[in-house]
Amino acid sequence: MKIKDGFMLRQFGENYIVVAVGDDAEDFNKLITLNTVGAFIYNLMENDVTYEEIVSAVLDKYEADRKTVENDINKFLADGKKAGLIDG
Amino acid sequence: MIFTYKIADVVFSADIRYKNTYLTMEDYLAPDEAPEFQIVITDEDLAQEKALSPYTLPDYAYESTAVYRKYIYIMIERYDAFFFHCSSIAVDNKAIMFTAKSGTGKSTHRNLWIKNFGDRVTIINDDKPIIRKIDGKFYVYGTPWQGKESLGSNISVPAFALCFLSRSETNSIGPIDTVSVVAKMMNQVVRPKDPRLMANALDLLDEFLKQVVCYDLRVNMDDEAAVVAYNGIFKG
Repeated sequence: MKIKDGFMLRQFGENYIVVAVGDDAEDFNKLITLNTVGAFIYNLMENDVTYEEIVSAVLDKYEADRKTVENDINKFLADGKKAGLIDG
Repeated sequence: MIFTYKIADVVFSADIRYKNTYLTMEDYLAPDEAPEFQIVITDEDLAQEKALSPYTLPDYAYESTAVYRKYIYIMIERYDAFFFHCSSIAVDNKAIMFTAKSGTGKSTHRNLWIKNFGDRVTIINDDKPIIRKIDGKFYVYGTPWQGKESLGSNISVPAFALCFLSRSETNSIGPIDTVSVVAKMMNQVVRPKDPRLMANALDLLDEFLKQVVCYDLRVNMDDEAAVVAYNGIFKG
């Protein structure tokens, strides 16, 4: 799984915001905002990664149990797919 | 003929064919300075402007916007500059920018400031001033391209406040959250297609938003609107 080309994650003040770049950017008016965990997952997914790789990376980084982490990741993936952010 | 101009503290030359363009840009002539780059407008450039324009005007009317387009892209690429649509005024050497959807009443509101505060107010640019970062600080610059009423001055003023204007029955000014600000600004600023330039543009926007205070400004057309805005910005 991977973030599609044409998106860029930036930090504005305290906020992580995904913006569209490139040829389709003109049609993209909606911004996607992420929390810190979301931004961490986004960065992982700039490379092609598996679900399991994301889970272990998040578990390494954050003090949380597997169930919580999986819930966060599932939500990120569901939202990301809905927003057209994710390939595969 | 080739003329030399200085806009937003950048000197360049432009090969100008039409008197109309010369007159539009006259206040920014800088004949004694050394240009850092040159702008040449081709027939294709004029044709492109014409194609983009909602009106059908004679060729000369498009030369100035063609110059603007070439100039602003170089400014964005090389000079830490950007622009967005806003009416910008200077009050006691502090730049206040009013941005809104077209038809909201930016001009009306700007006029209320002039009516209330008189000589303390100078219009920097009524349409799309250039914002430029110099030594870590942002300045709002006047340019020859200054909107329908052609209001503006050849000055630079430190950026101070950015107001997102909307119409309302009553007047109020308050804070606005960063995500709304970024969303509104993203619709306004030029978004380069090159990811590297895009990243630079976004970094610049982030820095800019840290330096200016952003407001949600809701106004009617009464004199009081400018006073409420003024008090929020300078006494809040």
